[in-house]
Amino acid sequence: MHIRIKFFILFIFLTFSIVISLGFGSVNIPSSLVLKEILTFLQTGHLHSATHETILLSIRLPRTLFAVISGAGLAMVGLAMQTITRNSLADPYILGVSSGASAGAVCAIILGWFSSLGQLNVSTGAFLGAALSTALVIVLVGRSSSPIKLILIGMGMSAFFSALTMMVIYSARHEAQVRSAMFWLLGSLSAIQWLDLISAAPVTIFLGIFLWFFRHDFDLLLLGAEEAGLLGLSVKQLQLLVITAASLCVAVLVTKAGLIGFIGLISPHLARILVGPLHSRLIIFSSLTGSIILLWGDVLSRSIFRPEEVPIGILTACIGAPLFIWIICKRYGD
Amino acid sequence: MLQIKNLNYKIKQQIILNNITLTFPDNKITCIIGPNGCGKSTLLAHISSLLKSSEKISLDGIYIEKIPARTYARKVAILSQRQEFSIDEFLVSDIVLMGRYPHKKRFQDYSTADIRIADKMMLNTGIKHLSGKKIKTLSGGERQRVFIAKAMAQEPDILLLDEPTNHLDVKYKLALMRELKKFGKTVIIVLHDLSLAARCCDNSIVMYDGTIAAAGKPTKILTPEFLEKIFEVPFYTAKQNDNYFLYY
Repeated sequence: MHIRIKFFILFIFLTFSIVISLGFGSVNIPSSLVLKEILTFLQTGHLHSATHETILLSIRLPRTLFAVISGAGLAMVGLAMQTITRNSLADPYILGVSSGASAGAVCAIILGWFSSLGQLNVSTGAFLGAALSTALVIVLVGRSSSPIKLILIGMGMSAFFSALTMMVIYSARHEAQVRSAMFWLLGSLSAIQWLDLISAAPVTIFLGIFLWFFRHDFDLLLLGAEEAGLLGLSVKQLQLLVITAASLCVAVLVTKAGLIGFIGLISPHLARILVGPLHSRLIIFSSLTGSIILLWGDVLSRSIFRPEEVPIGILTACIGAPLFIWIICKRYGD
Repeated sequence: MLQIKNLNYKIKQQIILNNITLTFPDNKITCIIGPNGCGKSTLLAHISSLLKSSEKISLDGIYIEKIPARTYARKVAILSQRQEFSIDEFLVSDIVLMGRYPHKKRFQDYSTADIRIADKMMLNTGIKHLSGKKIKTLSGGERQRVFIAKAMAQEPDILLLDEPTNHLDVKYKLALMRELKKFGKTVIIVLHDLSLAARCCDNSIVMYDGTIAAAGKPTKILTPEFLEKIFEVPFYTAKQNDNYFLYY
């Protein structure tokens, strides 16, 4: 099938998903009603019912858009990490950004750090933790451009910050603190508001444009660092730029929504099955598949135990892990 | 012109290259021959700039480490022996087109001129019919030709080839040598096939234990007596239709 047709199908499906998914949640609104409300909104700027206006416009729409944005962001970061480490098991968290963020977040939740910042305390902690771990990785990797060293330093960093996180959780005095720390660690979009999109959207769009500029350089990187270098690509410089931009994006997303796993791992693989290895296509198709998966993951998270919410990290792993195994069996099958 | 002056290289205490001084004539095919471990690939790695050579190698009078990587990639291309698993899913045409990377404008797509040049090199190396195939479906010899086409697509002044005839059958070996002659640029080629070296190269360099044992016209220096000393096996020669053959 032609690439443009595939793009068109996915794009239509995503748009359709955004509209349909607005109906699902603790209060179900039939799709026909959602459509009708959208039409009214387009004509008058208001919805028919005030309840619907609150549920659809103030609660579900920002959340849905955030799912689309962060799905795309995590997928692109996953793709970038898989390419610069030349490892198909890499995900957005491989360099320890997530464990740094977790350590910062639990310090805020349990130890009460940054409490002077009010509601922003957890995000501040998470962001600073993510920044710290990324900076440490960059410093420790030094001048080497070896992907193996990068992964191993990242692993070490992850292990260290995870231990720190567990230590802080273990030291908690109240069960409520543990619960809220766990909820953050498993990821959730339940607290997303319009305000959160102000930072998440530009950062993700910026990352997309940034990766697009380097689309051919990423292809070249797959020849191996040596060969790419001999063709005139500054491998180390590209690596640093990508790590910085990608970590910034992940830090912002994770700060808002906690750790959402598996999206960044499987979306690039799905995209590769759809359009092959060229990054000019992978960047677009990874984002689309990432958005779609996270969007429906979030729908499930708010529907299956209605009115309770399941942390979305659990769901993405539940759907993602079997999907991942299927992809691997397909790709490495004889 | 490519010139090497007093190049030394050692790993720990072991001397790999010992005071190498060489001049490579422009637009000629020069082969490097010698037993395993004599330093051929290391020499090529220095010329390709993969290994640093502080002011020992110059290209047209400029030390090569002073030339920016991208500019250097427009002047010198290398066919290396290592190939990565991560390119398996790429099409042949994608890989050959990557040879145009140093000529491409930053952040932009490859131009139609780039695509035309890549196409021409695929035609020259006899892989045009494979252009839409995935790398993983190719045989060893076909892969080798893909990478030769990629190096040629770089349109370098100097083409470095490390055992390019590996995996190639007789027909493609000879075809490659013809193609290199037609390419008309400076070619430095590491060969194990001595007969091929004697028949097809303008100039030859024999290396032994990190030094240059001899350099000059192949038919002059590749004598059975000399080669026997280098490779420690007896050699025989034959001449037919002005072609010089070596047997062992």
